Amino acid sequence: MKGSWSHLGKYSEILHYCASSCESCLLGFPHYLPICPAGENFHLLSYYMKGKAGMAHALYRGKIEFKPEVADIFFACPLCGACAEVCCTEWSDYALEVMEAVRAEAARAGIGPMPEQRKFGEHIGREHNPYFEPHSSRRAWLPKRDLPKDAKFIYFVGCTSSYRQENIALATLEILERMGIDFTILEDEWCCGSPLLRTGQWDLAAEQARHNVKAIEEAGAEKLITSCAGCYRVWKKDWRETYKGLLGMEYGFEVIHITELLADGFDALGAKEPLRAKVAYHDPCHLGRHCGVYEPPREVLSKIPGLELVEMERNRDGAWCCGAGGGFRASFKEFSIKTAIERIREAEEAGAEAIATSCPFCWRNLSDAASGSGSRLKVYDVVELVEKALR
Amino acid sequence: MIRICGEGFVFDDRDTLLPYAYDTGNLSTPDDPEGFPEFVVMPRSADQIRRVVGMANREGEPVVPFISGANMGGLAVPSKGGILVDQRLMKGLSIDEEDLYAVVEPGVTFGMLERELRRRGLHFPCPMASPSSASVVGNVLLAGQGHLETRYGCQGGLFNSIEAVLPTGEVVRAGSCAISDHWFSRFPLADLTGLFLGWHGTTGIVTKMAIPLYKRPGFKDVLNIGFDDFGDAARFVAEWSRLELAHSVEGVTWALAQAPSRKWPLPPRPTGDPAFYLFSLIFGHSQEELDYKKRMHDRLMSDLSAKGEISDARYMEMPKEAKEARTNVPNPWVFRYADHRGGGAVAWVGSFVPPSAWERGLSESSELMEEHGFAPAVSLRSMDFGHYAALRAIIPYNRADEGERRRVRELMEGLAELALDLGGLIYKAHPWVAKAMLRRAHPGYLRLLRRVKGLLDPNRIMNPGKYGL
Repeated sequence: MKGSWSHLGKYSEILHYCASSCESCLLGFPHYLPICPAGENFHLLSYYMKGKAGMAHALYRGKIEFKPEVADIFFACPLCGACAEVCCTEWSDYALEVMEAVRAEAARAGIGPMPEQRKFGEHIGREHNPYFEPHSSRRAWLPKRDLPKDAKFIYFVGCTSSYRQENIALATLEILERMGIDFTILEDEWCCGSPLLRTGQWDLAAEQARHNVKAIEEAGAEKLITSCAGCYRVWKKDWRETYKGLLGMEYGFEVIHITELLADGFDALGAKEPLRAKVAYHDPCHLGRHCGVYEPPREVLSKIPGLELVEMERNRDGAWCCGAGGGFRASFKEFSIKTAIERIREAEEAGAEAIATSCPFCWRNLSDAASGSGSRLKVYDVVELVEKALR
Repeated sequence: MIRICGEGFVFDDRDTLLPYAYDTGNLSTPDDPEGFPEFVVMPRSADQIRRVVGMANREGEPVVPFISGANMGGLAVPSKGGILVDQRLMKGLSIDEEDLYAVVEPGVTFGMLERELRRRGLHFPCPMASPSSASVVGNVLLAGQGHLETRYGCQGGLFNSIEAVLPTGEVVRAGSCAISDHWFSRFPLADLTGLFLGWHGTTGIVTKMAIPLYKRPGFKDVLNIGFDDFGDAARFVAEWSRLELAHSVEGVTWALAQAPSRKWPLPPRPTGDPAFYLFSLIFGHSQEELDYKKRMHDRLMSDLSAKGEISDARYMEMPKEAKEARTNVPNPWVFRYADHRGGGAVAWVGSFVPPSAWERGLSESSELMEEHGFAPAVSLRSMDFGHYAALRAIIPYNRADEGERRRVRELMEGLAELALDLGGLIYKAHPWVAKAMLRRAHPGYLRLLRRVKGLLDPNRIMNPGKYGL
C-alpha cells in the first residue's frame, strides 16, 4: 500500500514524533497505575501507543505489511486517549487521529474494520443505529409528548439512549421539562456517526452527520443538548475540527452536554430528596479527556442533597477507561468487560456505594461489569441521580 | 513454548513484533529496525523462564532478555533473531519493612515501586531520566543512575541478593538468599552477583532481586546555582559532594536546560544566563537538618569564592517544572527534550569519569557537539560523594532525517572516544561502543570476561552481540 495512504499520508510529517524510548504511555502520573486497557489486556508491547506509533510509521514507509494481524492491533484499543494525555511530546497532539487514520486505511484496504464493527456499520447505513433495531422505533422510548417542530434547543438523544439506555433519555427529558427549556427532539434523528468515525468507516459517518445537520437547521435550533458523551464529542469537536473536511459543511449551533446545563441551572430545580449515598464519578473519555469537561458533572453531583462525592484515584484526565469505546466492546467484549471490572473495583476501593457517569455507553459497560463480577456497586447516570432527587 | 508459557503469551508474527526490533537510542527506528526476534514469549514465572531458556540452549537458539527496553543503547534488540523473553508480566513485589529490603521480579517498574514505598515512608533511588515504566531490575543490572546517586552511588551498588536462570537453564542464587531466608546483603560472601551486573544480559536472566530500602526523609529542597565557567563548576561539585550532605548533585549545560522547552536552533546564551546550572537535592529528617545543609552550601560558596577557586557562582530562580522533575520522581516531564529537533528521538553517550576529568569532559563534550551541529547538551552527575561522575551528552535528533542520523553516529563515536581518552568508562554501552571500549581493555580483563562468559554460556545463546561478547 506504499504510496497510496490517503488518510495516513496527512500525518506523514509527524509520524516519527513518538519518542518511543520514553514509554510514558504505560503508566500514569503521578499515581503510577496502568493507563492503557489495550496494553494491559493483550500485554505485547505492540498494543501500547509506543508500539502502535512505531507500527504506523513503519506501515507508511512500507517496512511492515499491512495485513489483518497488524490491523487487528490498531483495532484492539478503546481509543481512550490516556496515553496521549500522559505523553509530553508533540506526538500527543496527533496520537488518536493517527490511530483512527490507520483504521480508515484498514477499512479502505478491506482488512478492517473488525467483523462486528462492519456489521454495525452496515446496519447504521440502513437503519441509522448500531443496535440492529429498526429506525422506525427510534422514538419508541418517548412518552406521549407534543413536541414542537421548531425550538431553540434540540435534545439529541443518541442511539444508545434511544434503544438501550432509555432510562437516561427519560431522565434527561424530565430534567429538560422541569428546567422549562424550549426544546424538541428530531423526528428523524440518525446516528451521530461516532461509532463509524472511531472504526474507520468515515464516509458513512459523514452521511449520517449531514442528514442530522440539515434536520437540526430545519428545526431552527441554536443549541444542541445531549446526554451522550460520544455524541457530544462528535458534535463539539470532530465535525467542527478533525473531520470538518469530511463532513463538507459547517453548522452554527452550540453544543452543550446536559451536565453543563445542569451545573448552571441545578439550584433552580429545587431538588429536595436526599440520596444518602457515596458516589464515585467516572469520567467518560469522550467527555473528559477528549473535550475537557470534568467539573460540571461533579458540580451537579455535589449539589444533590445527601450525596457524598468520592474520587477514584485515577480521575479526570487520568481516568481509567470503562473499555466500551472505539469499537472495543463490539469486537473485544470479554476484554471490554474486564477493563470495566477494573473500574468497578477502583470505585469500591474508593469507598463508593455507587458509580455515576455521563455517558450511556459507559453506563452499559460498567453495569455489565458490576453485575458480571458480583459487585454490589450500583451504576447510575448523573441525570438519573438528579431525576431521583427531584421526585 | 506455548506449552511452557501458555496460549496468548507466545507471539511469532514478525510484523507485529516491530516494537521490539529497534531502539532510537541506538539509532535504529521503526522504519529502519535493527533486528527482529523470531519469537516473543511472556513468561509469568521463573520456572517458565527456566524451561524456555533450557529449551533454547538445547536448540542453540539465541535468547534476548527484555523488560522495558528503555536502556536507549539497543541492549535488548535482537541482533541475531531468536527468542525475546519479555518479562514485564513478572510483577512480584514484596517489602520487608523490618529488614529494609524489597524483593522484586523483573516486571516491577519504578512507578509500581515508588507507589508502594511512598505509602510506607520509604524510598529507593529512581532514575530521573527513565520512564516510570522502566524496570528496577533492569536499571540496577545496567548500573544506571538513580536520582540520589551522590549519596548512594550508581544503581549497580544497590542490591542485596539475586536469583537467576543461567543460559544453560540452571537456577542459581547469589547474595544472602543463597544461605539465608533473608535477602539483606551481598556481604560478606564471595560475591557472585557480579556475574550478572553490567553484563548487558549476556550471562543469564535475573528473575528476582532484593534491593535495599531507605527511610524517606520528610523534608527536601533543591538548591540551584549557576556558573559561567566549567572549571568553577567542576571544582564546586567536587568540594560540595565531599561534604556528604547532598543526596544529588547534578548539573547541566545551558543548552540542556533549554532543550525540554525550546526547539532547535537555540538562540545564543543570553548574558546573565549561566553556562552551567547546578542542582543539589538535599534531604532532611527535620527542617533544622535541611537549614543546616543550606547553610553549609552557602558557606562553601563563600569560602571557595574568597579563595578565588570559583567566581560568579550565583543562585538561580528555578522553574516549578524543573523542581518537580527532580523531587517528584519518576516524572515524564524530562522526555520533552525528544521534541527539541522535531524528531522524536534521543541518543546519548554516558560515561563514568573521575573528578580529574570533569572540567575537560564538560568543555570538550560541548565543543564536539557544537562542531557536529548539535546543541551542547551535557550533564554531570556526581556519584558516591564525588568519587566519580556520570558525564552524559544528550543528543535529541530528528529520526526521519537519515543525514542527521549519520551525524549523530559520528558524534557518538567522538564522544565515546573522548570519554575513554579522559580515563572514563562508558555505561550502558551500545554494542559498537562496548567494542571500542574493550579495545582498550587490559588483556587480563578480556581473558577473564571471555572465560566467565564461556563458562556460563557455553553455547553462546544469551543476548549475542552485546558487550562485545
